Amino acid sequence: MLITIEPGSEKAIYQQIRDQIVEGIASGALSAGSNLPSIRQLATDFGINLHTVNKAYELLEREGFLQLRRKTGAVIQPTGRLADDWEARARTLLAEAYAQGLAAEEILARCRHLLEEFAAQRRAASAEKEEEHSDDRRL
Amino acid sequence: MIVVYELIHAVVICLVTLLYWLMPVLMPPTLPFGVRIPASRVNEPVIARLLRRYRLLIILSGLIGLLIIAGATYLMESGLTLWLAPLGLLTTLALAILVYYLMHRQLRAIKEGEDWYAGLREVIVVEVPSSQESAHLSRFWLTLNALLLAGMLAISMLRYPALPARIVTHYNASSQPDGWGGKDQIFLLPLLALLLSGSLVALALYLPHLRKSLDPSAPEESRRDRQRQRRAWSDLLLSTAAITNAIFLLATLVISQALPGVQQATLLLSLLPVLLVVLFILIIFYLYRGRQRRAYESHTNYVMRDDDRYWIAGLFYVNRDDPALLVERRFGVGWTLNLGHPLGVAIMIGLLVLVAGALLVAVLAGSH
Repeated sequence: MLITIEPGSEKAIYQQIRDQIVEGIASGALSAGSNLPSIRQLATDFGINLHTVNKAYELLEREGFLQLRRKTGAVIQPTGRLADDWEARARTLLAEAYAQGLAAEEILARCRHLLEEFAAQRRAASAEKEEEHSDDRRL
Repeated sequence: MIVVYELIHAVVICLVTLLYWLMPVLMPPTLPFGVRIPASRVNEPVIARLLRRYRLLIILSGLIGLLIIAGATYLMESGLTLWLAPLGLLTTLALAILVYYLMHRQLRAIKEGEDWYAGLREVIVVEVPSSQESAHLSRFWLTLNALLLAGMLAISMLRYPALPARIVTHYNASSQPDGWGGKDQIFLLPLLALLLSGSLVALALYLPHLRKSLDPSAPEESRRDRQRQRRAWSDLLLSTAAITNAIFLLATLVISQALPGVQQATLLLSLLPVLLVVLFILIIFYLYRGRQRRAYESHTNYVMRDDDRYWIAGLFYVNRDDPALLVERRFGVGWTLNLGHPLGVAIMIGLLVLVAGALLVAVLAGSH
């Protein structure tokens, strides 16, 4: 998958990296066991400070998406547990919609639509991987 | 026979001029004169105008260098000629860099004055997991280098027993011996050649670890272009090693007296311009093969980030945040050190000390 950072954006760069990796996992572009580049390599590729990438990786580790190992580097490893503040953040997001006067069904429909999008992307990603595998076998 | 010395310098001046004349074609279209511009601006008339001016001034720089050399041949009798020929070459080089800098400054002022990045979103795109790219080492060039190194070593070892205790280690510009040393020094050449080839191969192996960002408007195409460019540069590194080894082999032949007589030294010296021409042809060939063929078409307003702020005069890269030690040069062949990196600064100082030391030794040796 491609990670796009925008240094001029208001959103901190580490947050941009973290968000895109989480979405990458949701959409199946990154799956359990996928290796992320080392902190140094990713910082070199972006041309940004090591600490920025480190901060993103540590956040992902704390939230249970990533395992940082000395030998293998960073490996995607979702733990199946939600971060402690997940509910608080979901609450804020839903409050925004509800406060605007949207009906509960409407909000739920939007949420469902997003989830279905992730599922569809995940199906497409695994189909693509399947194809690659059969290509390998043919070779 | 001093003419050979001037000939070499004249040839190098012509090659340098040609290389600088071609340089704008060899560099990415979105980096004219080392200024980062969005793809939508590559056809701005001002760039074509600057290019015409640049080429005219580059040819003038070459002519000035050649004039100095022509002057040197007239002054053949005086001791000045030894200094005038390199001076001609240095003048051409300095003028070429100055011309580049003038174009760079003008274009940058125009770009900033007209705000070419207005309304565009500057981003950096990286692929994860990183595409697995292994170093490319051409078997042909590796073999050739191994053969040349083996040849050098074989000649030194075969000739060693027959050599007198003291051997000529240096010839002056007119092919007269002017430096002697113990015969063990014969092994210095293969050793130096091995060190040099080793570091060039190490650099070729390091290429896949250099920055791998992509162009947001054409990620796939820019990845392919980068792979092609790195392969070409790896070939360029190994072929440069081969040419250097060939020159060292010639030097070994002369110093080991494998071909007796000073005339041989002159004959071999005349091969030097030929090898230099081959080297320049290889540089141009590989840069041409590895170049980005066209500006990527953009369908979004996402563009590669304008990173001009990290480049001083488009020549020196200074970025404290960037952990990269080596970055691609924006104008010219190869890479440049990140002078915002502590190690980059240390290496730069080391290199400067080395060059200054070598010059000092040469001057001191010359005065004796």
